[in-house]
Amino acid sequence: MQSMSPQALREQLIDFLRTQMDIEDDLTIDTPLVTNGLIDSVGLMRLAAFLESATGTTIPDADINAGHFDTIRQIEGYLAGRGGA
Amino acid sequence: MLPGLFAALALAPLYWLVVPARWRRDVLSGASLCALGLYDARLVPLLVAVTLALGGALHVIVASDGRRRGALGAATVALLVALFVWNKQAGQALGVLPSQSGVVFLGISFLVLKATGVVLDCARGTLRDTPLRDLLAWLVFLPTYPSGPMETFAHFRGQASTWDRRRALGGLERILLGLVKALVFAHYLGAWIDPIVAAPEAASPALLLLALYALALRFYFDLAGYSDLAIGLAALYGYDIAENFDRPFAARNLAQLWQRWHMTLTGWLRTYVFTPLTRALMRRSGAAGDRLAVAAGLLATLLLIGLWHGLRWNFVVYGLLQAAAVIWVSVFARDAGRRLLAPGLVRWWRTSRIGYALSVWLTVTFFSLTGIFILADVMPALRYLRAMCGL
Repeated sequence: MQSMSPQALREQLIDFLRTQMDIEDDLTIDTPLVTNGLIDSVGLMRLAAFLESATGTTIPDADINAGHFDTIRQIEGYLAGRGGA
Repeated sequence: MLPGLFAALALAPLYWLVVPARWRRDVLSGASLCALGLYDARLVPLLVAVTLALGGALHVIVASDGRRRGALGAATVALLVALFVWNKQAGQALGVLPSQSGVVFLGISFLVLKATGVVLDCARGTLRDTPLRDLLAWLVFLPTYPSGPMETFAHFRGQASTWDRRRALGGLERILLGLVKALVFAHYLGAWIDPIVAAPEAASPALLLLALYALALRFYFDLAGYSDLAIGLAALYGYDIAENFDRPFAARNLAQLWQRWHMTLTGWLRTYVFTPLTRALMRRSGAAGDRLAVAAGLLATLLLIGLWHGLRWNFVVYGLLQAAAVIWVSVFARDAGRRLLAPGLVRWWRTSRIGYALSVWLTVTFFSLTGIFILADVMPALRYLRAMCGL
């Protein structure tokens, strides 16, 4: 399991969203990613794979949804709840 | 359909005046079974038997542990799939049109998907409590039984049938909207399209193209109209049911369109097919193979959407065409755009109104052209497309 500070994870996450998901809009930690259509279900799969690889956390299939992954803040909260960041 | 709808409308005041709150769910189960029995008497013993068998299987699955739980879940799903295949195949043997793939028992396709969902939830340990009374109410709930929307067990079970004047009035509006969509728009579009599809050689290429756009609209009005009726009727009896359509023809690509079309079905497939399959493949292939994993997950999902319509080659072709386009959009289009087009052009396409309008037009056109494979077998569909191209 890789150890990473919350700030480093946020930077990597933003970099992933910009480079891999092509999100060029103003991206804040409260920008809705899924409900605004910036990420589709395929993007969610790749985001989950990225988060698992970056944090060493296993994310259950049932958790991959807009309820947990709609904003960077939600993602960080979810990972903190699972002990991943 | 109309007599049943009018009976449900007429009985609603009686339901709210007479039935005590604690009996409402059971009364609705009984009334749903009675109505389905009037349509086809065989449905009553079948639905009761399926519910009892499912309840028993879920009880055993939840009580089991580890590998045994998974094996029991897989065996139960296999039995449900067998019921689905038999119902479709036997229905097709009755010689109905490809567009009406035919069933022996009404509503079995939705019943099987719903039941499979709760079996998988119990096998994964995310659902433990499945009382028979609630299972029966959920499976036979008349507004959604014949054609959805496919309400999840957890959402349905969490609701109590309570009177809400605003919801009931909204329900009446939805029923009216659904009647207009299904019985006026879908009906008249169908009446115009069917003769053209039956004899494409007699029509001009432009008319054949126009008929395919009309066909996509007909599918929408038909499915969305029946969804409106189901949502409206459920609201009248105190239930909030999931929405099934979200402006699909405003989607800027086919992946988005499928996320907005028949959303409870595509949501089910995303939860139980696409997500677990894609993630399993991703874990096996690592980061290098994630695109291939996503493509394989999309292929399986879209192929199942095709086969959902019936076990015929035209539906296989339909599923493969949708899969090819969605895989292109979701997996390859961004990189291709970056490599082949100037960055300014890509940005313009993604952000300008003209780019959006052209994207929507391309998406709707693809969806409309491939829709012929829902309405006709492979060879007649190809004949239609040839005639449309003037060949």
